[in-house]
Amino acid sequence: MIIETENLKKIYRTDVVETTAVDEVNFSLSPGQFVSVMGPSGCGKSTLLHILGLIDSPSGGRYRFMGEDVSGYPESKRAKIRKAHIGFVFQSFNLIDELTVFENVELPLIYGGVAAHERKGRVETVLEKMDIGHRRGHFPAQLSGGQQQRVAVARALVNRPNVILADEPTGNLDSEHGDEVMKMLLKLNEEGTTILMVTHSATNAAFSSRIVSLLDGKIVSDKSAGH
Amino acid sequence: MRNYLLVLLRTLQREKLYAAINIAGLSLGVACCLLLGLFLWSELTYDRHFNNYQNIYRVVNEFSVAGSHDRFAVTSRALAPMVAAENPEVKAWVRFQNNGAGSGDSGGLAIHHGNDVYFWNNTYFASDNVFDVFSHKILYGNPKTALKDPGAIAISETVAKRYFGNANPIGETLTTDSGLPNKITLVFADLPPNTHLKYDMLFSDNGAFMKDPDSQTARRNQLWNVGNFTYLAMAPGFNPKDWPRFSDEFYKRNMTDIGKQLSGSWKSWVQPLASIHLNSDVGYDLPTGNPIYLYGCAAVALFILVVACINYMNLATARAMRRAHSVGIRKILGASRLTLGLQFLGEAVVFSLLAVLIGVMIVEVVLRFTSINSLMGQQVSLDLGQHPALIGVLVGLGVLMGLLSGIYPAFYLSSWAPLSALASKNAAGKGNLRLREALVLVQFTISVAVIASTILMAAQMHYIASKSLGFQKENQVIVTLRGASTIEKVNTIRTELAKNAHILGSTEARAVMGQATGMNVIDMENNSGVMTHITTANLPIGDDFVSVMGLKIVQGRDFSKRLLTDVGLNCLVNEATVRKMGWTEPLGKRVQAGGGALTGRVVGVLADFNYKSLHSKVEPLLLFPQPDDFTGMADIMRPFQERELVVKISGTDVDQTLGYIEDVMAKVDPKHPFEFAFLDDQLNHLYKSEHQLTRLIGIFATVCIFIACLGLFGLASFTTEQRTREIGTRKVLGASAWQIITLLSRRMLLLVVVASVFAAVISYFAIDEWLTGFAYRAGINPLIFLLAAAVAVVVAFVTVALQSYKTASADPVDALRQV
Repeated sequence: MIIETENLKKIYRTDVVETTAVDEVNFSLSPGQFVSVMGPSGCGKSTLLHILGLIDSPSGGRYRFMGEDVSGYPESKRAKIRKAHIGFVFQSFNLIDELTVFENVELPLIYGGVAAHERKGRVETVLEKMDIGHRRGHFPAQLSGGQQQRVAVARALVNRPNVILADEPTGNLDSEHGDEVMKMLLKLNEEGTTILMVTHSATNAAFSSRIVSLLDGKIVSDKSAGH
Repeated sequence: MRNYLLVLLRTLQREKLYAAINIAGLSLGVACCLLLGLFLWSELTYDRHFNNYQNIYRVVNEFSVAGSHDRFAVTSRALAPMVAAENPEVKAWVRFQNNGAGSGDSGGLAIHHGNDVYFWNNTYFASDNVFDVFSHKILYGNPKTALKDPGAIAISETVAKRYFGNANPIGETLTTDSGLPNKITLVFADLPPNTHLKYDMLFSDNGAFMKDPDSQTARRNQLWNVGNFTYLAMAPGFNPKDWPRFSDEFYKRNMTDIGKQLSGSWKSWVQPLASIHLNSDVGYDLPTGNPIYLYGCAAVALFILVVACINYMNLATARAMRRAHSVGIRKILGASRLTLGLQFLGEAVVFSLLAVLIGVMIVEVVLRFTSINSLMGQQVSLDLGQHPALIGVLVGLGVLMGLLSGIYPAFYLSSWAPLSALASKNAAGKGNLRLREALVLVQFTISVAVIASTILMAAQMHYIASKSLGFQKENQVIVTLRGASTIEKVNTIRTELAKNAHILGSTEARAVMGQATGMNVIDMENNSGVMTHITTANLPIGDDFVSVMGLKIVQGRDFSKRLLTDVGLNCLVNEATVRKMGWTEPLGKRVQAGGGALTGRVVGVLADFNYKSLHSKVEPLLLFPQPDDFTGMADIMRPFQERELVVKISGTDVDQTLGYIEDVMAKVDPKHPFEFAFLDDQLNHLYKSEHQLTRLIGIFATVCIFIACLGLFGLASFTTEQRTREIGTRKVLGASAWQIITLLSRRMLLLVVVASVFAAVISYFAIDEWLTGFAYRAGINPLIFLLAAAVAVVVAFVTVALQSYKTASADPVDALRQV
């Protein structure tokens, strides 16, 4: 199991209000799966994804990542796991404006301590795979949305992570580019990459093999979807 | 690394204003710091270029007679050989005796070669082992034997070039006014500017007329007359603290007899060569440095650097909101806090190193094309080729500055949790608003304190320039009369001068106001009719001195040409003498000197006037008629007699009047080129170091506030950017541009006002300390603090307003469309 949670909880507190964003979630993700988490806005799906991606910490419950209980880990330990095992794709691409396509994709390898000569080959390979190699010297602002997201996916893949977490990967794209990105993710999954995707689009969810529905922070359904 | 550098370069390219402000501020800070650092270095390394400086000491001494304690940098000529004979730790000694009166204000010693005559200020008779004790770079000649021959002279490269160009001058002769030839035996490279005893020429002191007396008694008598700078090369391991014990024993053995007669005593101590420049507080000294000025300059250098570093910190953290996004992504991709922290710290270091590079260029330009060196009274240069260690220092400075200014931004920027960094772009920059304001407060406290101090110093200098000194200093031309034969014609000169309508009077004296006067122990009659010892300054004067100098007689009369009794020690005294003696009726009191050889009475009392600089209070002074009679004087001494001729002019047709004086002098003394000075210029020279410091601090104060304003400008631009939407909304709701500007600048101005209060306290204490060096003070006017605060407020407001005006006056829709 890559991901396994037990009564996972996330509560946001302010002076007057307490909001439970993730409520007693029990969820697991096996290698090779392509799972979509669906639900309306504010249902807690992004929060869940952030906790599972180790960029946020739970308020309660247990979270085991690749068999290791990471629930109480501090940021420094979580950072180590993140850079070794998790790739991220965001709705707003989150590319660094000052870096070129090549440099953006290279970044996780630098943080992972991969030697320079090896980095070059790996970045080139993944850029070719994402069909964006010809744009390697461009800056994000010079690319279309679809191209930027392909770069983001390339960046997520370059470190050969155990799982890719995608947060509304087509949210900022028109339907044509969105479709293109989804097909790419599907192809990656077919090649063996495990993917956990948050989306509110049923069309996109249809690309996955399993759909988990969330409402008010709780899982209301968990079923497989044929594609 | 490459990645970080690339990001930095691209950031610089994209955010040009930010980059320009940071680099301009830091490089100006570095440049100021370097200039002041070079100045400090030069001041702190005085005399260290002499190889054996650790073992060389100067002997200085204090004579206490009749309750007066006078400390002199010069000692008796007899002292050096006598202490060397009695103290085995003295390995060698060198004494320097100023050659003739030609020093400082009097225009120098005339040195002739053929028809070339130039005046030289720094000429001494020196012991023949001078080049053994003090290491010199020798250009020509043998230092071992150069000054053995009584007629030998060693000259500096400058002197050699002046008379002989690039030719080797060994064997050539130079003559003084005596006409006796001095054979050049050695040429030494010019002494570095940071040498406390500077000389252009050294005459052998092996001449017969300088020979030490053979008899022990005569030598012991000579110990009470001062006139030589005495240097001792001590054995390694010598402890200066042991000297006073030796000095006491020396006094007991050699000086007690005369000491008892004078009811006085004597003591001496030694000053390590390298510390003379900054730590000497004795009279009749060569020009020395002032540690307070060094502290002042060091503080200003540090302040400027702090202000520049604060700019960086402020701008870097204010800019944080723009970087939050990239920090968030990097963290999600696995960057650790340490990695990011190092990245930001590295950026700061790169910025600083760049600033150091530009700073060095600025310093080069400033040193080459401005008169900053003369302002600092130094000859500093930034010669990296000659001092490769300096490169290390500069790199070290860059790294240190980078760490200093980068540590907080690095800590702050890397501290965000990845998600909040990604999510709250705008909030990221707000968290440290308080800290940024505190830093601005520090910057403006420093800036206002420096401005206020500059104004206070300028006020004191203005006070000194305009204070009534008790005599007329304007329109007084000073001409040095050289040689007995010229002085003997003083009446002819004065008669000729009186023929010109623009010449209102003339007189002569041994010295004029501001120049060193003689100090003597004199016996004066007290109220009970008993003669008592008193140490007073004394000034032999010629006819009409009182009227030409505009002195005021408060009791008695001026000297009279008709009264044949006005000779000898018949004298005028100042009020300070009357106070010191406690006289109820000063007129007619008896005065005697030289054990009764000279006697006279007090004929008049002069209102106190500042015959010395305003650093010291008016002390007892005695003026007596000067006999210009040189009969009986050895021929060899006649050419070296000097007097100061004072010519009071009307102030109109000055050039013509000076031309007339020159003609008169040329007829009487064709041997010397005409040289003159104005008394007020000479007096101004007494405050040269204060004027320099005031101007120097003034320049750096301007730079300081400029850097602070650069930072404020940057901050204002970020604040405006951060509040763009708010500004748009307010404008839609009807706010005017002025209201927006005041909204944006209100808080900054409040900070500057608070800073001014802190600054007032700091500068009050700093300047109060500085003013202790003056006996006469302008006082500290509180309005000056208000003025300094007003300057800062106006400059800060204009800076912020310039930046916010653009947004405040634009169409509101532009503001709303952004962000």
